[in-house]
Amino acid sequence: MTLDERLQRAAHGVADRVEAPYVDLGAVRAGARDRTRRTQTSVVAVVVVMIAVAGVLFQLNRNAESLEPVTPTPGGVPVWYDAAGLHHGDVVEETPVEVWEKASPDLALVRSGALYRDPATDDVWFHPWAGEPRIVGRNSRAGPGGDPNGDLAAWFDGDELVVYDTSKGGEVSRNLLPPGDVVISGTGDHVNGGNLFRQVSEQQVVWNSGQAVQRLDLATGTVSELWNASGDGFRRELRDVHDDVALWSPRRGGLEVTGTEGDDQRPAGLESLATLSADGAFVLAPWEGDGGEGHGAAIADVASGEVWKLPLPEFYAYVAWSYGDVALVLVERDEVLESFLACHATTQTCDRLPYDGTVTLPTS
Amino acid sequence: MSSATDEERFTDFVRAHSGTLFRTAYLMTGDYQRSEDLLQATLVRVYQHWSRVDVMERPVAYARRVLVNQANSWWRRRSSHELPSDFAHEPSWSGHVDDVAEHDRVWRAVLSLPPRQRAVMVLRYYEDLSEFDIAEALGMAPGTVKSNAHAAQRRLADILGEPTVETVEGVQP
Repeated sequence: MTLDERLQRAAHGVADRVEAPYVDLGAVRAGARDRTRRTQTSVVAVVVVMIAVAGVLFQLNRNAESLEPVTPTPGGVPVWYDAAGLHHGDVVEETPVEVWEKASPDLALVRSGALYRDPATDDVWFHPWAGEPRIVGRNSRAGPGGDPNGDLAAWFDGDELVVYDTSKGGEVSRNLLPPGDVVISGTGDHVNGGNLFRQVSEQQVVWNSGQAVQRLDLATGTVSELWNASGDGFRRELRDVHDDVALWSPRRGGLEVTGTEGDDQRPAGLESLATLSADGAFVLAPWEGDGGEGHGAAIADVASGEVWKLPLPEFYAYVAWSYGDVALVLVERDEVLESFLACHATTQTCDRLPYDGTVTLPTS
Repeated sequence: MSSATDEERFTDFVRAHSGTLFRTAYLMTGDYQRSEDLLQATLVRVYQHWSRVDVMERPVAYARRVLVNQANSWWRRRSSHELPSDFAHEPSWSGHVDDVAEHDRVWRAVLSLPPRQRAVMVLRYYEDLSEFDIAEALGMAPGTVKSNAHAAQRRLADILGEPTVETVEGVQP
């Protein structure tokens, strides 16, 4: 008997010996309704919270104590996910799958919608802001990245890097990478989701492959290393890039910004786990706590070097960019979410955001 | 789910496919209780999205995909990779004792494989799926199915003392 025959007989032999359980269809229906009800209840709860919050929506100036009503600032809207669904500004949309793991890079933005990964199937979904969600990719254990100012998204399909055009509904490129070059996530410290993809644009896709940062040039289809941990790379680690602007984490601590028109900057007080806004104009980073114990967050203007310390308590901040100049900051105290803010880098104002359960931030 | 017709169609779907889905889970996990949980979770998810699943060309392919991925997720979450000592819960046990011992021995070897290789073996040898369908169920490229199948067969040949690896039609190494 061949191995093939042995396997076939064993599979059917073992399967035939086990009796399939009775399926209680009532329990299945109840389970589905419970899940749906949880979502709907959360939506209602958030609407109630939002109505309440609308009355006391705060503008937080540089002094956290001076709270005044705020007018929504143009230039971008906050996007996040929680138990109520996918939030796009004031709109909460139901998603066809439950996606969310706090430390997983599962939510990315393109200008016309969001992309997320279904952890049950590893499918990649594109959720247009005007349209029905649909599956656009498969086999993505690492989650998607996207260009908030454009249409391109990227993810790893097994060992292949896929670049996808959400406006045209088709793949732009597919590059096979060495297996070691695909990581599940970058660091989860401060940068919620790990920031696996550093930049997705019409020109390039840049991602963290563990001990290196790699770049796919979309014009030539070539993959190259922007940085690796060996040799001179040991001196400082590449944290983020946007075209010619780069953020570096020196061994001695702090943060360096290079590629600006003037001299390299070392914004005082900003910690190294920083991220650039989608247009490369601002740096968002944890802030060394004044008391030396907690972490706040701050935004630096790349062009001017000006640093704006965000008005929030210094416990532990997770930071992420949404659209435009909108920075999202989660403040946790003893691993409990204490505060959730959307801060506008241009006007230096912050709004409190409602949330329901665990919040997932975009990874861009 | 809105209409009685939808309910009937879902009921028909469960009657037609729950047994095979459960056994697929059982062959992947070797754990009766876990397989029951995986089946239940899969059916809940299918029911939740039935209006979308029902119009698919092959609703069972969607259900199988959910099941297999949940099984893989469960395996990744396990704190240890110990093998089941035997296939303990077998209410309908029957068959020649030598066959039973042989089948158990072979399938323990399959359960020792990494999750994706094991899934390829289950879908190929139990569900008799083509390479294309296996690729779809596992979200793999067909070439990845081939390489997993080949690696699994080599490993099984080694464990089971087979002299050579037989190639499988549709899953050529």
